[in-house]
Amino acid sequence: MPESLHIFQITETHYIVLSVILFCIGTAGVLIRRNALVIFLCIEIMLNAVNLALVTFSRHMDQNRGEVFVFFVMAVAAAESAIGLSLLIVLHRQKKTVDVDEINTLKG
Amino acid sequence: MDNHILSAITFFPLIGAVLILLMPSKSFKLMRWTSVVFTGIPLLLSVRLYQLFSPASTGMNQAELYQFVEKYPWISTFHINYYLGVDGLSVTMVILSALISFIGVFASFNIQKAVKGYFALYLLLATAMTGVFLSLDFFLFYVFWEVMLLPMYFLIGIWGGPRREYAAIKFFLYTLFGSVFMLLVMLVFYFSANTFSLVELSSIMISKDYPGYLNVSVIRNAAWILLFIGFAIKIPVFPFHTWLPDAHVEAPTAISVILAGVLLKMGTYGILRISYPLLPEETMKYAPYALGFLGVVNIVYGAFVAMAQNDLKKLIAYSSISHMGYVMLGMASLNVEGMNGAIFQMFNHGIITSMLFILVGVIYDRAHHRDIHALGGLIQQMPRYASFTAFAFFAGLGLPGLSGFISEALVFLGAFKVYSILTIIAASGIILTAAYLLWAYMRVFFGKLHEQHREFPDINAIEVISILPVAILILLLGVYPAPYLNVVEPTMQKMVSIFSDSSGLAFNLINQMSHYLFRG
Amino acid sequence: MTEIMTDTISTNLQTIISTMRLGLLAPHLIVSMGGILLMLVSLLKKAAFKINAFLAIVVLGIASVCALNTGSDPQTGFNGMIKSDMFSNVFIWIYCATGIFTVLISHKYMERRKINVPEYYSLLLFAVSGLMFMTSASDLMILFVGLEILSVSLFVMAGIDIHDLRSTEAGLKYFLMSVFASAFLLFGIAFVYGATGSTEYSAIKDFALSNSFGRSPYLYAGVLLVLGGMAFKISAVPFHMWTPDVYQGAPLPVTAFLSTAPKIASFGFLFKFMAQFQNVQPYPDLLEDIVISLAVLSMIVGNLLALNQEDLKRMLAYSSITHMGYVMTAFASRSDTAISAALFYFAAYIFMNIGIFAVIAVISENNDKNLTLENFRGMAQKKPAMAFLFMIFLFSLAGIPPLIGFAAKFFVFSAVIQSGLYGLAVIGILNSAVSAYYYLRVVINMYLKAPEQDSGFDLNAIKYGMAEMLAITSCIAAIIILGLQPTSLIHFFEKIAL
Repeated sequence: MPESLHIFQITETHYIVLSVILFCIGTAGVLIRRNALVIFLCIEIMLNAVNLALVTFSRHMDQNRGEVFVFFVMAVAAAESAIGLSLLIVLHRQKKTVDVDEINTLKG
Repeated sequence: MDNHILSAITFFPLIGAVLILLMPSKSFKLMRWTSVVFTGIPLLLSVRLYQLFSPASTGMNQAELYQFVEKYPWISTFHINYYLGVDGLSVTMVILSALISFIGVFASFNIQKAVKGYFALYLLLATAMTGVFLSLDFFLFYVFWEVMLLPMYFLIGIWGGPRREYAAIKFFLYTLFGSVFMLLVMLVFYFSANTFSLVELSSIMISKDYPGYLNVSVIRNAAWILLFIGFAIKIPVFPFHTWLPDAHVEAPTAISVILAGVLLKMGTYGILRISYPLLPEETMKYAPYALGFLGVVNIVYGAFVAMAQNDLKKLIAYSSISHMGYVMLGMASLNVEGMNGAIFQMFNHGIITSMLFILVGVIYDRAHHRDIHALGGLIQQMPRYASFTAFAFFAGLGLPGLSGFISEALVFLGAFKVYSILTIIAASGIILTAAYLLWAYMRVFFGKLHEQHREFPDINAIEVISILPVAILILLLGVYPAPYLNVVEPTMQKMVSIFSDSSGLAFNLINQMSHYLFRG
Repeated sequence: MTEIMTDTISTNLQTIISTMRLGLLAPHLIVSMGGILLMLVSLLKKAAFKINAFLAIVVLGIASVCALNTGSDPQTGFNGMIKSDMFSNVFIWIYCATGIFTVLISHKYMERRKINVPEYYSLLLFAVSGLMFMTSASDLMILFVGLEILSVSLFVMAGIDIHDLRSTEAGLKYFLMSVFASAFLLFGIAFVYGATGSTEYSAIKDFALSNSFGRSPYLYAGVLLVLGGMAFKISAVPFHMWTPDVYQGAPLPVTAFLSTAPKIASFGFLFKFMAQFQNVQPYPDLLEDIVISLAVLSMIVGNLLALNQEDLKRMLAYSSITHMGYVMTAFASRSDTAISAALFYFAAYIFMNIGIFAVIAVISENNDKNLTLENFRGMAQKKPAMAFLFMIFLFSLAGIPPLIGFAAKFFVFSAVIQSGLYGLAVIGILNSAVSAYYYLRVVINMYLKAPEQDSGFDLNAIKYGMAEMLAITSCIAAIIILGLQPTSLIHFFEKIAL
């Protein structure tokens, strides 16, 4: 292998950093975006960042526990999106919007 | 019965409260007389208690020197006991609270609104008050102390005057904050000594073999100050006193009677029962300032503010603040005369102020106001009322031959030995008291009788019943105080004995100043 | 050859099944099976709502009896993924009790609101099974699954009134915040896994004991993230924003359930999980400081926000933040006494909170608007009995002796003082005094104010259902009896160790 390519050797740290970056992007999205659907997508990004981290650790330690966990996360995320989307639809029927700033019937 | 006489005294009113709750809500008469019976029995029992009580029961740190002890485990995880008992200090307070509760019922006969709730709460209050004076377990003491808060809050808040809500909340929050500090100190004591028993705690603390956290002097000092704040709010001591006039003015007559007659005593009782035996060293250190100096401030400030009042009830409320100052001054002296005087003053103030409040209630029932300036010449219309009031006012200003004189004299005797200058200032309070009481009397009873007051009936039988026992007691104890002092004195002697080295006790600020002045 | 193959497979299966120890999961399985059964009953349409309510109570009752069976010795099953001991049993009882109370107060309310969908009860049972898995778990994977079973059911329950915008909004907000928090929790779990190579509590403990926190930044970060995610569920300040909205919008019985069981389960998990690091030397300061500041912030901010709140449900939401702050102080003191005190607090909190929501459910009988404190004006004159019961609940929440709320606070603050955290105890006790003010505001409205004439809210129209009254009276009885005599219960909790 040529010397120069060693610089680009990708270790598990790189994956973890990527996962942290993805997680932060997701978090920032949840906090900044006002469209409930987009917020939900950002949460999915966060969950996938978690999946990436899990797979990386699992691979690094050469065991499959983390990979199994990823399937759990995916299954749960699917169930959650079913519920979340249906709640969004119910809301949209009544209010004709999915902007969280306009969803403000509840106030003290 | 004699074995459980203390429980009986405490819980009889509660039984009455339950009975009243079961009655149909229209049977006012039945409720009133039930209340009379269920406060009367404890009164009789407490007279019996007095008969059976031997003055040699000096209590304090020796469990065997308490009488009629009842001790059963309650919350064993925390070694909390249902622990009642009396010594010379509490026996008189029990009699006081039974007596005041009893006459308060008569003063409540004119209550028309929600009678059922009123008497049920009233009797609950009576139970809680007695419980405070009888508890020898810190936790039990605290529980009774807190339970007392609620009925008082409602009694002021529902049956009070126009600004009742404000007064009730103010009362509640002040007292609650005070008791929070007490809770904190209580927990520190428990986790150091592993007991809530006041008897055990005092024997531990008097031996100066401080356990656990109490070994740290800062914690002991903080404990004393926090306890003092908690009790000071109840007394009330000068900067914490503002709830009292509001509560008194708004409360119905009987509740003012209870408030002034019994509740205020709980502050000073708490200091004597808890702060003194549990933290003797700190008591020595702080008593001159927290009790002596502030006591004199109470006397003088209370008297001056009373002088400026137009509302008769407010006047009496401030006179209470002033009179409680004597109790504090006597306690601060830490010698037998002063302490005897303080305890006696607690009792006397209880009965005299009750009488005053009932008398104010009498005029309020007729005139529907208490403005001193709007009254006048009542002596022509209500001669019997005028003479009772004269008696009560003279008792209040400490006329020789009436009980207030003896207690004040004892306080001054004791206090002068230690704080000469402070006592001289305090004695001037007597003149101020005489001034505002006589002034008020003059305005209300002499002068021109107002047209609309011509129809006023004189004091009636129920009202006389409610003040007569008190009046007789004031006169008897004023002529012959021995039955009271004999019971109290041994306990006080014992309490003073823990402050072995009271020579260093002095209100330094003034003493030093006077020393400086007279020398140079 | 094939015979040997099948033999090994069957022996393998046998060992797998014997290590599974299904008995340990009896309550969990009964409740989740019950949930499925109720789904089937729901097909009956007409009478299903009533039948389901009854069945749900039966199922929860059986489950709590089954928890008795597993015994008090700690047993692990499913290859160490489940640990059943007295601690988790106590929580199972707490969940079953909460579930039964919720059914009792739901029935009439849901019928009145025309949201009597029979599936509601099966969702409740699924939620309860999720709760059970959360505290029985001894593996983060199971914890996560339990938590999500719970959450998914709760999203639907909170948003079950699809004709009411408030309910939908509450459901959606709860959903977004909850999933957001789950992501943090998961990220934390991933890091813990990355550091220790396992998701099992015991393996994590072994790792933490042999490698201190300082030497493993992944573990440190992971534990902090798990704590943060759970703080969301507990609604500790500063992760509390969702609480008032969800409390206000969700149907009342759901709020009653939401404000008690999930928070208790989250604490149950935290107690169990953080106990693994109990003996780690040195215990990380940062972790301790974070827990303490969460407790302090929750108590103070919760109280301050509740002080001026006019909406009753929102006020209770903020006050629940404060209550969880008190429990957090017990959590911060990390001692066995603190755990028993916290368990006692949970029991007390269930009775007080369910009771108070039951009363509100009765009162809000014919009221579609939000309940404000003003609505309670003069209630003592119109409905003296109900006002009196309401007052007892409020006083208990305020911690006035001799009610259970006082005993609970007393035990918690005692434990805190015993651990030497004086400052925390002082803050807690002062806060409990402050909290009396806003509970008292309701009492003032009920007792000291004259009834309003045309508030559009008719207190006279209140009718009591049997089930609701049963819930209220049993809560009142518990509050008074356990308040006067807490000894046996706290004794029982003291024997429970982690």
